[in-house]
Amino acid sequence: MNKIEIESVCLKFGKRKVLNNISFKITPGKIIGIVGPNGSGKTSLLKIIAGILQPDTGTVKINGREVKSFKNSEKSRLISYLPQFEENHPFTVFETVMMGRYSRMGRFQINNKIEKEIVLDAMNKLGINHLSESKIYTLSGGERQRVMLARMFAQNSNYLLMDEPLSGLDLKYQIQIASLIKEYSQAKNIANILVLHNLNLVSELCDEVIMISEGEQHCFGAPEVVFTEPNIKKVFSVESTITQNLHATNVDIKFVS
Amino acid sequence: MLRITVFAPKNLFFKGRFSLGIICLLFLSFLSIVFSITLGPYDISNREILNYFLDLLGFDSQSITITQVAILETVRLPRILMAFVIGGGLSVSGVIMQGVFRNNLADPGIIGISAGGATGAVLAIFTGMAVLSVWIVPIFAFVGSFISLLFVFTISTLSGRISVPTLILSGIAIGAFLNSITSAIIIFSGDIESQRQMIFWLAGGFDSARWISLKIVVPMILIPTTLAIIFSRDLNLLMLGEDQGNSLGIRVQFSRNLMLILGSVITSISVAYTGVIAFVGLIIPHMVRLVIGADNRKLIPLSFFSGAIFLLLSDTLARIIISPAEIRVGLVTSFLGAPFFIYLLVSNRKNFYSL
Repeated sequence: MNKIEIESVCLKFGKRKVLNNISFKITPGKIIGIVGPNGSGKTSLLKIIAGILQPDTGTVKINGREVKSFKNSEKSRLISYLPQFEENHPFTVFETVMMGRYSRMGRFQINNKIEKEIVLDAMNKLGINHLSESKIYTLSGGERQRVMLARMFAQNSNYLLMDEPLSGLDLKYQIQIASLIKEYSQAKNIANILVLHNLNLVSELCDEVIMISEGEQHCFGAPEVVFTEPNIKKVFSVESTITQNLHATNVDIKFVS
Repeated sequence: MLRITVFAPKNLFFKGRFSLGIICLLFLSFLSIVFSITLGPYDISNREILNYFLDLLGFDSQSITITQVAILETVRLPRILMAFVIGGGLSVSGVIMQGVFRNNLADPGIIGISAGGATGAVLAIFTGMAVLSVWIVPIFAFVGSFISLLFVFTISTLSGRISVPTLILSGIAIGAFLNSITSAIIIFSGDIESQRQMIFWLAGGFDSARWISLKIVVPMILIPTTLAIIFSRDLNLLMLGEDQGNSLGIRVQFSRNLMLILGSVITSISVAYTGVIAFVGLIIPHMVRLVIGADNRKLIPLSFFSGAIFLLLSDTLARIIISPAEIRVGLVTSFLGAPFFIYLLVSNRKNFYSL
């Protein structure tokens, strides 16, 4: 039973309320999009689900168990988290992707054929195997993003929590990674949670959307339910027109300036 | 799912490279220890040294004079071992600090540990307590470095958890504060002899190395080094960032505190017994990293032996360069280290990452 339950989560940074009473449930095989304007608390919500931040009140349960009760090593076999900002460090691409496997390996297990194959497979999927021995700080932003994605896939966990997974990528990789994410969640029947800015991409990729605004849960549901002209106007203060996409089930959002 | 098999390029298999490195360094360690034993103001020939070791192993060989045995046993051997172990320890502590602070310019001195040790030692000499026992200066230095460490820790954890920028900044501030106290003590100390002692102590050296101090220094450096090797994987994850470390399976606060404690123990014990020796913790990890890469699982063991060899040879140079007098090893490491470090920076300017 791959289920994530978020129950009345609240978070404060000092006096500022970052999240207020967020509750929703995620069922297996679904891709969930978190949308909202800058500073609305999207990243904090994702970090709380990943167990990196602790909420002030409320609980996050994964498979019926509270996230904070997991040991970090246990948690990393269950959840992968992709941070928003690109990393800068002196490890090689291969070493970095291999770190996704650490929690499944013994401390002194440095060379393991099976692990190495998993890592090379993940690198292959993201098209970075030719960079294997390059140092991270020599790569471009998009390449670093792909390295982090490869590490996340190599972690082979049951939940993928991604903060802006497609930012900085060229068109080819945006499409490829979007379909990788879809493929992965269908193959493993698992839940993905993404923070994305591109609403059209959300409507195409996600099964359910949670829209938050100033830490409040504005609405939660299928993209065609959430993406309505009044909702977008209220949360993003932008006029838009919404049309049903004839070739697919999603909606098209056009912004009026 | 489509699965494409790729053949890993040969240099992915660092295992071979790593063990080759360890073997080479062990061999070089042996060579440099042998080399250093034979050198010194008092003339002892290679054959006599061979005889001494054969004697130790139980072979009854041609005799070597009692003076020669005394020089080998009480002067050269402890000094060589001390330089070897401290050199290794300082570079391991450099690797740890660079990892924890995610900055290649971090060095064991950066969080005020060395400065605290120096103030402690200078204070011991100033108050005249140093003459009471040979233990007083090391104890004062150790206490001094730990007090400054506690200060820095307390300041940087005021927000509830360790903030790395605050740690570096408060380390620099407390270091500067302590250095001014140290200078003031030296200036106000009227006695020329104790002033000389203090300044001597500020540029570290191994002339006071004895077996009795090795009994403390060796375990206090080897145990933290071993622990650092055991937890080197956590240091790798710490270098990615807090969120990444957390989601890849380590307890970030625990691992960071552990690493800081290990690095601090090594540095304080080195400062306490040998004074301030600059540049080993900065330059050795850099060089090893250029050859073997940044993976701390390989970097820590290789840096230990490289640092050990470097400091031993520097000390040997310090002993023989103006023989029978000698210069301080801290001067040699800075004198050799600084230009070499600049050379590294210039020749590898594209390969250095900075934050």
